[in-house]
Amino acid sequence: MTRILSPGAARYGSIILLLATAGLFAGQHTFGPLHGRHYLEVNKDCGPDLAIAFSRHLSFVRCMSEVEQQKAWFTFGGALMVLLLGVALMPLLPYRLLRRAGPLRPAEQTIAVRAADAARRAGLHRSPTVYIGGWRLREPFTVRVLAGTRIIVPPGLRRLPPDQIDAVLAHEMAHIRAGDVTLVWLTRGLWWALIPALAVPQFLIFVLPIVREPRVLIEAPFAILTVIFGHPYFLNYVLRSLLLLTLAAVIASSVLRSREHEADLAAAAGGTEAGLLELLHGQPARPGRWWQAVRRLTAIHPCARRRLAALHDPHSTTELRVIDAAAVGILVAMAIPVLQMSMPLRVETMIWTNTAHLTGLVAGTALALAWGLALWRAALGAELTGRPIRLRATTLALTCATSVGMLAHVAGEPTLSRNWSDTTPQLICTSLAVGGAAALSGILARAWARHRTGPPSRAAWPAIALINIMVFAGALWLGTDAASMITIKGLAGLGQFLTMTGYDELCTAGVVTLWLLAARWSWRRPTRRGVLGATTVVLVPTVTALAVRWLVLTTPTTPDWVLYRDFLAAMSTGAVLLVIAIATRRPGGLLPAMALAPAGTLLVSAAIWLRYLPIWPDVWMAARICLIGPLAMLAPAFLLAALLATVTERRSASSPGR
Amino acid sequence: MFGRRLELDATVVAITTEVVSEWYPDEIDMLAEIRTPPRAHRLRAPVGMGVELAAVTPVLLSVLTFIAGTAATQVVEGALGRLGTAARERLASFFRPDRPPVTSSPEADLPQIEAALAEICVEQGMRTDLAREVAKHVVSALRRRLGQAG
Repeated sequence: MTRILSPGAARYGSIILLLATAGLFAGQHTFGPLHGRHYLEVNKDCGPDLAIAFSRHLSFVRCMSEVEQQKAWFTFGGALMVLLLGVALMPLLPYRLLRRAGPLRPAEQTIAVRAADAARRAGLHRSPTVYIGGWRLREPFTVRVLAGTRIIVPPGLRRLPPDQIDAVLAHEMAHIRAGDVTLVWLTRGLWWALIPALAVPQFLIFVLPIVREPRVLIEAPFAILTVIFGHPYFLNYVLRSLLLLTLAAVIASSVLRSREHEADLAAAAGGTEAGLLELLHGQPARPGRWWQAVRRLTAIHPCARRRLAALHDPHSTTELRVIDAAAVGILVAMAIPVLQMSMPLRVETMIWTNTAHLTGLVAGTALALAWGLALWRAALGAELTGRPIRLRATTLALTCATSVGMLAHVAGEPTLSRNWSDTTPQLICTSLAVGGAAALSGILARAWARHRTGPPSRAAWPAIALINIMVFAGALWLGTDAASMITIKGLAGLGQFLTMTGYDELCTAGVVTLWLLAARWSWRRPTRRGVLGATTVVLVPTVTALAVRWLVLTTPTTPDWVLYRDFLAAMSTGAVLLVIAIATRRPGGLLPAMALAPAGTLLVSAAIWLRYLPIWPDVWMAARICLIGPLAMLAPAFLLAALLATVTERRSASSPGR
Repeated sequence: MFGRRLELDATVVAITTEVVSEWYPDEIDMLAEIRTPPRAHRLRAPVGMGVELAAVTPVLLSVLTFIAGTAATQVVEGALGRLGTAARERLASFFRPDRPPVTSSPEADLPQIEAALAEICVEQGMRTDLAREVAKHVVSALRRRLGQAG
């Protein structure tokens, strides 16, 4: 089997991102009871009406800068505290496990030599030390403590034949090689570090006043308890914190189970497959009881039957699962609102210091690595096995999970207390953007896998990661932009979003990249008939758009409409091609339309530029505007078309080999 | 507060000692460490192999303690419930010497007992092949006890 990149580490990264962003939230809420009153006074003095009037917004931001900076220190201090405490706990938590597994004795020379061989085969520079655990220990495991990496094996290991001992050691070495020991214990460290961080604000709000005035607890204990536990803020905070911690734990277990398959496959690839198969066949088959279904949610290893199935069919481990899509969607979506709220209010000077941009970039990168890579890996596996990649079901799951995650995020109280009309556009636009990005990535992935000859090189994966970051981060930027426009102006804002995204240059760069990729991967040796057909498909909408523009849309309604009327005519040419591809459900899918749409759009743009050539004040600036404007408009069209094409796709169309 | 934990039954320790010292001598030190009937104990280590590689001694002590308890209470379930009445009485007689002697032939009962023992060993987390081997050794030890009694 071809060695291909695993998105498992990125999924751990998403859990770590979520836990760290919850630290941001905890820090911000610690600021409230300590300096919230002062913050509100400054806000009142600066005049909240200034925040509404856009023309005076900068004055308001400058007035608030001092308290905003103070709040930012608390916010980022919270995340830093969680990270530092989590890193500190990472090598300390395993000691409890070691104490329970003990007493530990260094393994016999024969086992140590086999471990050194296994480490060398796995490509580890340093062989971990192997210890034999106490009589209570039944399962081998690996930890990293302050003194280094330790593999602890049960005394029963000695009863195994040599090839099975090698399989056990190779499996543990595969975990170490993949970085699982660090990732798993860092996640656990952060999880435990988050609990006190989330408790601090509640302590300051509800417990500290009682500590200062303990007599109230004696005078009216039940009234105090009723006030605390009946307080909507407290209940909301505690429930959402519990939900966050539970989801993080359950998803971490799910990721860990998938990593077990990868460790098995790596061990088998190292020459211990026979021993591993025998070992797993020898495992007792546990009777399935109904109450064990709950346990399976938090199980840290797949059952022997599933592991054997994965060893017999390695590509099954790369298949997309709805549960994984939902997990990734919820994890990243829960981090988005917290990231958005954590950035201080400031005068935006650069694109990279803008809250929405940074949030989109961070969340988009997490989605790209945790889900985008999984899509491309699945497409590669599907091409080899002939099984479909379940793009429709997983895209829908990712889209819905994004909505759920944004609703269930730990900082939910402000979202729910606001007017629903404010938050609904954000929920819908972000979810659709994420779904569109996943669908687009999936369509590209399938085309790449079909077009590829031979296994991909190692250098291909960073390029794939970059393409996915561009697609997911770009989609999140556009989603947030659309939501802001709709929130401010209602549905009329959607029109404004289409004509002025605010990301013109970046959108154009993205569309051109996708255009080139689509053209490259949908290219087949063209026949004369094919070229004629493609030319007709491009020219008919082009001519129609120009005719409508100059024969029908002759009188502009507003001054802005003069230019955007031309841009919309150009963009609609490309959009028509995308709609035709979706409506006809062509076997090639959306990709050929993505390769032709920018060509049609540019033809109309060129015609418009030439038409006004005598009257342009700066011809080359006009050419640049005519190039960038309509192409940028195609970016949201690509996302929406990809989502529609995927959702309406026939089942058989997703199978490779078509 | 909840009283002392049960000590290991003398017959259980004797049979286990016999089997371990003859067939698994590297585990003989374990016998001294285990003072009470071992219970199923899973550490749930997050990064591990996920397969059970239990040592023979704790599983054997656990299985024999379970059988001794069943012999005392007459409550039978699982693998022991599938044994015939004579085989069940034969098994109980090893742990309760005060019971009346069993009239049936041991050659008819012992294979049933061996299969049941292997099944319980597997339920307690032992690999199938090792469980069969251990059950065979235990039955040999029981047969020797029968010979001594006769």
